[in-house]
Amino acid sequence: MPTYILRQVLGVLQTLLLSSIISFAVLRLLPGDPARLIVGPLAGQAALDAVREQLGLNDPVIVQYFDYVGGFLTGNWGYSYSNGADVTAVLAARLPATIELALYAFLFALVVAIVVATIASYRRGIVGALAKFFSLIGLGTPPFWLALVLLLVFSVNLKVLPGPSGRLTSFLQPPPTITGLYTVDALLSGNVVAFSDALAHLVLPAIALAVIPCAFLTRLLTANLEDAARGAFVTVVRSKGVSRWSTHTRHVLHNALLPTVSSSGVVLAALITGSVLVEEIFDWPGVGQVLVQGIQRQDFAVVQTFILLSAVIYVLVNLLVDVVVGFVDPRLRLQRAGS
Amino acid sequence: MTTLTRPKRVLARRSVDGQLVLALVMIAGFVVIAVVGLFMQTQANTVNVADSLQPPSAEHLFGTDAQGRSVALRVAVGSGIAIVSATVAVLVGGALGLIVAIACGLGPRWLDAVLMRLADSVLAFPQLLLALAVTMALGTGLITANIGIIVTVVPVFARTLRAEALRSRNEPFVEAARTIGLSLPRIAVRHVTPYLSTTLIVQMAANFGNVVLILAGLSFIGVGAQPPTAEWGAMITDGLQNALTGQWWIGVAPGLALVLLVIAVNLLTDQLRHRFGARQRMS
Repeated sequence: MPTYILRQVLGVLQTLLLSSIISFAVLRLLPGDPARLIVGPLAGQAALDAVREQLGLNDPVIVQYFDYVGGFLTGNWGYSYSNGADVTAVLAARLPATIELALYAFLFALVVAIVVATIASYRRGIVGALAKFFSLIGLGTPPFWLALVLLLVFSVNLKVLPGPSGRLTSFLQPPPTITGLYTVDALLSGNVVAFSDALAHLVLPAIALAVIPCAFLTRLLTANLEDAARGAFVTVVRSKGVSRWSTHTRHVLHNALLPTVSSSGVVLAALITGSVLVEEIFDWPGVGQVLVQGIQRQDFAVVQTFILLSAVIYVLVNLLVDVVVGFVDPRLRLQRAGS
Repeated sequence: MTTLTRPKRVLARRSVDGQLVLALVMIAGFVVIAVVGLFMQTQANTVNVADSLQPPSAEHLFGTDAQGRSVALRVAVGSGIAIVSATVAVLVGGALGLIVAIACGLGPRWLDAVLMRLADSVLAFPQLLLALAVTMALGTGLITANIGIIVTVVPVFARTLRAEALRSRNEPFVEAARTIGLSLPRIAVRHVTPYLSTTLIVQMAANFGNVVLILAGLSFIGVGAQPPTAEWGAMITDGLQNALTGQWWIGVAPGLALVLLVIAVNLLTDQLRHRFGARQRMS
């Protein structure tokens, strides 16, 4: 076990090192002068040179790379001129909104996927075919288009859910910050009005964000359930007199869930990408919106940090999942080490 | 027992054929629409303010947008853009991935280790975000967006093909080719490439839909195709501005076309996998 973890950690370090080189190289290729963007088009040469010096743009490339990695590791992620604040502060202020949205989207995707996959693998035929059909549609649906359709149906036509107005209706006070998640904070402070309003604002963006992870998980879990249902333990459990349905939900499902957990990284990547595509549509004040606005205003510090950060989070989550899954089920550990 | 299972099996086989036919018919339909769009490019960009924001009718199948352009025509032009871009991306990405995979399979072990570590670190970035960064670095536009997408799909191809290339090393026909003294490049081109070709084709189909989605996403954010190009993602951005005032067709039509194209290609991928018996992981 310790050597297994050590090998995984070493591999991850190599990957992260290369990832940082890739993102640094892309940063260096970006057109335009970052110093010019900060001082503005009217500033004189002296001011420009001062900022260039301050940013270390006159140093050799190697020094710049180490500055970049050092800055990234110490949480010094540069200055976002379009927000007028440090990138670290901007992202920290907006992270709770994205976490709340992604959390609800993930829970929705997970519950729907488990229910649909369990039923679809229990009763193949029409139900199974329908489930397959829906996951086919889900995997082909761009989240930003689904967001548009949901807004048209539920906000513009039926008028049952709020339109693109952020996390709360503007005349409501946000609940006192405890966790940063409006729904949780509102409940903790007993503010039912804020809670239901925040929840109503969450429904559409969460569904739009959930569609791809949900379709992916349904497909994967159905396949894993069908694999697990062929196991020898199924015959043993059935011969003890357990009904087919409870064999399926109590034994087969448990065995199918663990290999599904291994692909958490894919789900996480889909949620990060989705938040970039969906937040701006709903005026959701999260990190995805900051990225899109950063792109439009050529604020490269934001773009740069976001992209490397997403890779680091992805790699670390994969490492964590590998270690945990390997700990729980040694068979999977051997499989991974062999591949 | 036999009387019970037999009709089921026949049914299963027939439904597989039906899905293949459906997928091919849908794809052929899109190609026809794309060819029509190719000849209508100037009409699709003709601004006619008098006709703006017309709802769907017999004259304008999907209505008109704020500039009075026919949405149906623009969707047709957009399918050409999507099909050509994605085809180029999977062909170039697939070819580069094939080269990397063969280098891993036939080359020295250290090369394999280095290339795969590099592939892993590219795969660590969410595809859309890396494509976005590369596109911005090269300057926004349809062609640079395609280059950005190719960068992100090469490691996907390389990873899957490498496993097969490694297996080919121990196949008798490769050993035989070595024994009679064929050069490595010749073995790679004449013997290993055909061995990998079915996997390559399945992977190209599998990545096609994803590439269409990423390109639309890039254009939607504003770094891919720029307006007035009739690209689906850019058209959805356009449609968002009119959605809240009730002109639903401008954004809905291109998205619907996109979903249908991706479904058709993914359906085809499933059938190809089924036929070639390739059990690859979903990507």
